[in-house]
Amino acid sequence: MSFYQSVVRLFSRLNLICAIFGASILFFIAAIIFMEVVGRAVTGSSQLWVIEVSEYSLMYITFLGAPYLLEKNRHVVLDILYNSVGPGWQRLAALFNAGVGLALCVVVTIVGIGVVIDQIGSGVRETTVMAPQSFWLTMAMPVGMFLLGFQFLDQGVRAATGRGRA
Amino acid sequence: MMEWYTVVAIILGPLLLLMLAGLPVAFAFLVVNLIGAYLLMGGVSGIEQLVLNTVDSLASFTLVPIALFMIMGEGMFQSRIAIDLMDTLDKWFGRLRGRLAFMAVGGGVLFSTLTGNSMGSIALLGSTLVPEMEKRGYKKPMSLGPILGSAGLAIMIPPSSLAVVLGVVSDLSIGKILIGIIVPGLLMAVLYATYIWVRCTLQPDLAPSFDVEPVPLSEKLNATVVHILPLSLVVFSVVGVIFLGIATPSEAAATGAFATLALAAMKRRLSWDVFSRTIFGSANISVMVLLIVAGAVGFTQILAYTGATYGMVDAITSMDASPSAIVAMMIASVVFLGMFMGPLPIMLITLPIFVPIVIQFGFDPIWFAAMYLVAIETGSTSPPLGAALFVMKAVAPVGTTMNDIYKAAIPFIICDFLAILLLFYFPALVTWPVDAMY
Repeated sequence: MSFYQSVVRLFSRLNLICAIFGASILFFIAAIIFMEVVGRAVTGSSQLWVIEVSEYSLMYITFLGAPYLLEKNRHVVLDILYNSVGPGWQRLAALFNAGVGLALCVVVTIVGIGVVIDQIGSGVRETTVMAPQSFWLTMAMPVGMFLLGFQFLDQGVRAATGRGRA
Repeated sequence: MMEWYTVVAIILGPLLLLMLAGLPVAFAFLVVNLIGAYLLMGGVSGIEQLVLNTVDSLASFTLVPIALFMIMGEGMFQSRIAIDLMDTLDKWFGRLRGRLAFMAVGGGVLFSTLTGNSMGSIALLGSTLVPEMEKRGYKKPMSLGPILGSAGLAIMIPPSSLAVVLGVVSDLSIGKILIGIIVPGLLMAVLYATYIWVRCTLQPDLAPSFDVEPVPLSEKLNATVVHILPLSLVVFSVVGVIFLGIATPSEAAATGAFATLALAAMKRRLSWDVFSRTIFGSANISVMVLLIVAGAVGFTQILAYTGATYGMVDAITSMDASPSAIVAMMIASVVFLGMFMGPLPIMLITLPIFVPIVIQFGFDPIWFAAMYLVAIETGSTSPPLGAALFVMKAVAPVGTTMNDIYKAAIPFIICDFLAILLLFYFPALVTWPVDAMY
């Protein structure tokens, strides 16, 4: 097995672990919101942290799950034109899409890391009841975009070597 | 300062180009947002702002129901509760002419109260009913058509994921939208059933009568008590808790999800395998939708920041046409776009432009939202490329051509247009239940 294939497998496992973690968070927020409704109906008091934690969780669910879906080609695609052209054009489009996607991910990862470092340095916090440090929230985006970037790179490699659709 | 149409061309042109090239919709939005933020919002600092805006738009409690409604739908399908429901309906329809077509409508309505996903309904109704319909000599217009039409009711009857997306993108009350779409959804079901009855009466050969084993009343009642009555727990846990003020629409999605899992557990179907497939499957669908929503919200912000939204609204409101005619054109354009694009991209591109115009004209935006969702449903079943048509093709028996599916869909599309006309001329069908509740 080549080094590249080992790296692809490593990222594939990472994507799956992240997706499972994201799904676990989804169940977690369903559980805490359900308990909040029941608890409020019984005791008449609310837990303010439930809404906040649910909101923050959405960031992690989305950016942890997105790379797995990209790896499995399950993101929503408008394939009207793509499916109506020949294999040569499809390969060209796949290369183009992989290049554009990779560029997007590289830029957002770099800028995102910069924003996170700024937030850590300045100690900025969310203006909410829990007031967590903002970088905990922002961090999900560069992490997810980094993993997505590798998937776009792999799609580009597969398109260039003729190993399936990107 | 660029003119609004230049900004729209700069933003919308590449967006459509990227989507048509096959880049996933969510990433097409993100790429255009990135370029837009760099060019129009001050270079790298614009991109930093874009990162922060994306975080803000995703970390929103109003998006929670999108993810949680998915748990309900997946849970219903994975635990086979949906299959039980169809079996019970089958017992009740007896020897009625066109019974399987009516079952499709009845099943479509019931599934709609349990899941917000029309494609899932088509897949399930199509795979369970069409083979039986073919075996019984049903012609394509009466086998494929009713399923295409009624599965789309998932968009119209709460819980509806697309209604939540509409509320989030347009900044409208999700609760009001969910209440407002109930009557239009039921109206569509009545129109479908009426069409089936009329067509089966005029052309009996489309849905031949066939003998079915008589089912004793006690068995029908037993099946209803065992398989349908418990579903009222799920319906109550979503719609009931909102009506009673126990939970907000966002929270109701969680109570619905838990009620679904509880029902599966009561039926002894909640194995670890079913549970994990339900949660993992719903997380995957949620990620798809949430990422697109995040991209589209950023897109909306760029349109607003550059003055493009204001320019478009101003240009349309000063057109030499009546406000009603402009609203009708908007609805028609949604149906037209649905022939080529999926519901989400259409909603995310058009809503930020349409809703401010509707509000500017002084119309009730909830009324518009209801018509808009019917138009989305109509578009998704419209030839040549409505998304639902391809799901139908995937589950239809071997040998079914796209032409068969197109022909079967057309009468139900006409029913949808009739529903839109009724809503257009009788807004109270939408506004009365909302006013009664709020």
